[in-house]
Amino acid sequence: MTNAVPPEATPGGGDGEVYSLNMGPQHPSMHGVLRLLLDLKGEEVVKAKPVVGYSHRAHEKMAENRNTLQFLPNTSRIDYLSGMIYNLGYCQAIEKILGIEVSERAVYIRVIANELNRISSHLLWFGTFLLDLGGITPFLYSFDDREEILDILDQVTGSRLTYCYGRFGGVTMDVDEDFLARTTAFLARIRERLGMYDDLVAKNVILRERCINVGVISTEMAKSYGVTGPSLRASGVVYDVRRAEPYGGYEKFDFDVPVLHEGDTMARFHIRISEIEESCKIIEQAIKGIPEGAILPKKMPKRFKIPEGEYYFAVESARGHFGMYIVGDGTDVPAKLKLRTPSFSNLSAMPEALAGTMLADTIAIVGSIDVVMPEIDR
Amino acid sequence: MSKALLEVLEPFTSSSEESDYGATGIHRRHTTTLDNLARVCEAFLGAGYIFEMLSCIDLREKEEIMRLCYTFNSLETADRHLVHADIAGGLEAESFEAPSISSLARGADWQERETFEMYGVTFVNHPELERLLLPEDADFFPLRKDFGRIEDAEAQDD
Amino acid sequence: MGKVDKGDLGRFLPLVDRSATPVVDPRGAEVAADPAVVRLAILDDLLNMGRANSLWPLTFGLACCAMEMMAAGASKYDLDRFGAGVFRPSARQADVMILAGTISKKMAPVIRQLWDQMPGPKWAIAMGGCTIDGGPFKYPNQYAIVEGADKIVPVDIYIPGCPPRPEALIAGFLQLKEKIKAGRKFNR
Repeated sequence: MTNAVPPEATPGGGDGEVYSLNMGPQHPSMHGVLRLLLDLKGEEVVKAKPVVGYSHRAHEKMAENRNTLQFLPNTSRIDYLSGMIYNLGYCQAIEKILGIEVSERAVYIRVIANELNRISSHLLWFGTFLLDLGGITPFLYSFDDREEILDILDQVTGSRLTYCYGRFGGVTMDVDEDFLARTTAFLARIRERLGMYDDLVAKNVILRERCINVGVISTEMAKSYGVTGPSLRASGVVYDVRRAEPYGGYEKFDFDVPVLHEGDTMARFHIRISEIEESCKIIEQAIKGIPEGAILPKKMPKRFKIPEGEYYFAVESARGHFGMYIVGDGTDVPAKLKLRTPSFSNLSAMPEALAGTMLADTIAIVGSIDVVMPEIDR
Repeated sequence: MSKALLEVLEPFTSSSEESDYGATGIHRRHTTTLDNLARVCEAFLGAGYIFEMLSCIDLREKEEIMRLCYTFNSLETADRHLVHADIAGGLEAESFEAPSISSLARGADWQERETFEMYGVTFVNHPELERLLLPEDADFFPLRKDFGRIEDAEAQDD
Repeated sequence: MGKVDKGDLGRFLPLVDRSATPVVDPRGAEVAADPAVVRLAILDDLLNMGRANSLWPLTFGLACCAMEMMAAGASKYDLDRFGAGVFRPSARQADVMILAGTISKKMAPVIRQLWDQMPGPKWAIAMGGCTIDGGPFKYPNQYAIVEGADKIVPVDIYIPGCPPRPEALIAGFLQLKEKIKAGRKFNR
């Protein structure tokens, strides 16, 4: 009685049989409700098909049924990790359309809030990415850092996650010396921590084995799918909306746009860590240069009517190019508001990026793209 | 906006005009027909632009069309072009069809699926035109103007 | 047998005592002389105490509230101190399902399936406004979401907020613990 198993009986053995695996909407890796239908030949992914829509909340339909002011709370819930960037981005879009002036002080406050939000989003990504790969400790450390940012923003805005801090023309609450002092102290703290993360995480041999040359997205593929953000910059394209179409005061600040050319998971990891450093630089300059002044204009119209026409406004969120395409019809309820979210395009590149990889690499690659499901499903 | 690109686009667009970028965020707008849509996309993609967004506006009641809006952008120097293509059909029209550009710009794949399920626009030659965000058994097109209006809601006894 | 007055521990009686002497329930009422009934009730209390102090949540973040749930499980607001820090990915190993985030109509059957997969006794916490009644996404003729988690699963604790702070989630857990410990009152 031999123990030999005939090759055709083993999936993947011999010619190989392809079997389907459902990585259902509820699974341990922290991407939210993403469902991946995987066709596997042993450990190798033959085909990966994402099924999305489990978080569809009808933002675009709500935009057509609410006036411009009433849509403000929705904006941070589209991508809750860059909630401040989206909220202020929407305010900036309407201000550009209606030609509302924003005071200098509000511009600087917005920049500080945006960059703090970006750092907190990247820190959360850092923690959860490593948690997916099996390293539980960095999650606890990065969340601790993130809590400091959330406390700072909570002090000013009153919310920790889904902010409604922006108003058309400025921001709701002014920042005081305590806020600036805490932010400066935080910058010193995060810079020290980044050194620690570099030593313990980026140089970790297990992480490097799992991430280098894994999930390579070529430049041509990234451009064809419309991938933006850190994933595009890791594939060699220097594109950052803050540089390409400066908005909200970013032209005043001196910062680099980090770019790498490998296009693999490790490159995306390094880009995000570098972006935290760049955000620290921007915040420092903003704190140094913040002028005195009002934060909201004195007279504001009661209703914000969008003139007839089509408008497009883009901001750089933590995940990439977030664009709002607004069609106005003269009333204060937009005829159409399309949210061009970065994760939608980034995830659509996944089927091609995942084909031919191993099952364990699937988690690393999908994690490194940094998707937020409600942003895809809107 | 290079002159060469404008010349390539010229025969395929029925109108092409400058737009005030400072006020609208769009550098130039074009109108084209459904037949010329693929050529226009090829022209942009060949010049190094990326396909940025596909959207649809439901103008069946006002103008008896379903308007498709494409934006193309350059990653090197910001240069956004908005392209309109109208599909004729009023409120009573059974179906709306448009050619798919997913073979040219792979990012259009999911965007066309979303436009299909939200507005009911069928993209011919799309590899797998099925619902993306709504449940598989959904049989309505939510973003159409005559669907899901607040005025039509039944009174709820909360 | 001397009465050990140490709060919860005061209710502990040796289980092998088969004497027929009537036992006074520590909460005051005099119980019937049948020791078996008394003992089962105390056993029930013990089990409930065990369940309450080691609730294993199911990792089930749907939307924004999931971030606050993760923050509650992280180092600053530590859920582990309450015994609830062991998040289980598999529904078969979890006690409590924290519904964190908006429930879309596409997700509703999945939630029901997961709830059915959880072995009893099980509890559900509805975290955030969306799971209470639809939250900020509720409006007349909303086509995409289920307005409230209690339309799908029987919810024990509702935590309002958008999103609720991690402290609010911890308060919800403590409330659930009280509910579990008072087991007999709630017919569990």
